Amino acid sequence: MPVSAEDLRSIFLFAQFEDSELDLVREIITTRDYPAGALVFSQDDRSPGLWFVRRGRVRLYRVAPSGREFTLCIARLYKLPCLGACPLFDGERCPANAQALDDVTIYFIARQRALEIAAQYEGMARLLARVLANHSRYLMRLTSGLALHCSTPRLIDLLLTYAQERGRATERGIELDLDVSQNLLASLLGTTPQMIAQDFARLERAQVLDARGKHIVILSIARLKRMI
Amino acid sequence: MRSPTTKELKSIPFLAHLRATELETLARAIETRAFANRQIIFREGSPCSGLYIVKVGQVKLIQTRKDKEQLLAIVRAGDPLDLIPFLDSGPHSFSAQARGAVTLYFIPPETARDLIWGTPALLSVVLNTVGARLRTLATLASDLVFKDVTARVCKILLEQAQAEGMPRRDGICLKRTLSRQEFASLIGTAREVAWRSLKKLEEEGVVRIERNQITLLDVERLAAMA
Repeated sequence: MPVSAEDLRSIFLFAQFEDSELDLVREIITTRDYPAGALVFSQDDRSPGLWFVRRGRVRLYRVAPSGREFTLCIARLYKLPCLGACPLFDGERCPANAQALDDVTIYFIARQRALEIAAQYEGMARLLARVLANHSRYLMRLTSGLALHCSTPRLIDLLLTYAQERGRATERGIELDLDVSQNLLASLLGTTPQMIAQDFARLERAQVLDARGKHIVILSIARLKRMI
Repeated sequence: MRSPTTKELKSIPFLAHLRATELETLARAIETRAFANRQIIFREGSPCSGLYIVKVGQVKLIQTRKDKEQLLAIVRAGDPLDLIPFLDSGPHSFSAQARGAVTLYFIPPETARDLIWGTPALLSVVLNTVGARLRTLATLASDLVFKDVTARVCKILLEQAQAEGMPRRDGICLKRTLSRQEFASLIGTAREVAWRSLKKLEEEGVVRIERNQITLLDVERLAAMA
């Protein structure tokens, strides 16, 4: 199915593209659908190209020799939607696995075509630059959290991000619904589900939040921020 | 200080692929700047102050959260410092601090941005370098999750051995150029914990720690533990 200009512009990375540039991208971009749980690409695959998540969520993760998984990020339409930029330039292998968390629709551009367009059109080069910068800043924040903080401040940081992205101000505080399971949350924070349960219990005892399954009410955002 | 010659610039791996005319343009824009030991070159979160490439010496790339510091890397002659602000016009993504006396090549931010975006070969090398650093960051993040402190100590020692180790009859010798704090910060743990891990490796006969050097006595075992 051809990708419309409107569909492409719904991905913020393409929002500022000129019509002529969008037309070029539309000629080389293809749509791929994956069911929930499917592997989009594997760590150590040779770089095939760029993926843009249009619908659903894709997690980028690494697996330790022990089988333990660590989720580097969850890509979605409005946040880190582009995958595959890291090995695009050196043609090396993908540094992580990508798995569909829901039924997803992804736009795909083959590596060589992406590089050709980036070499000819500044809009595409700027898109790639922005993707690399966004991922670098995200990973730097992630590594500093892992190196310098225990799991509680990392959980708070994630909850604050979610609150900003999808929190609703209500009489009780800021309410939000997590769209990840406890296991996935633990994998995102580089810890275990048991530690996450303990962290939630600690935050509830401190009366800064109320957690009922995936439904979270942040009772005091100011106090939560001070606990990082 | 005087501007560098195109020959000097060509010898920098980061710039080696540029054509002579591109190097001439770059040479006209570049100044050299000297920094004293421990002097901050730029701070994380501050507006982009320019493009820096190490000419002589070493620079620490640091992230700070509250009063804690993570040493991301120590870069050396030929390595560029922060390139990310040139890709997204954002602030510096980490702090840079001179480790010993340092001389850097420097290009003011606007000039650097124009040069990068007006010189396809330079843009390409910037994107390549950031892509490679992104790969390193992904590995660093997963090492912090998957590997315990001892495994991370082993990995850092092996990386140092590969970069600057001197083969000796009983193993590979590393000069102890990092302070205990720097070593711990590079591993992502407290100084006492890193030191305890290192001493444990010594007790097990994998390394020998002396005042000015560490000898890797059993590289195979070190690699298995990393």
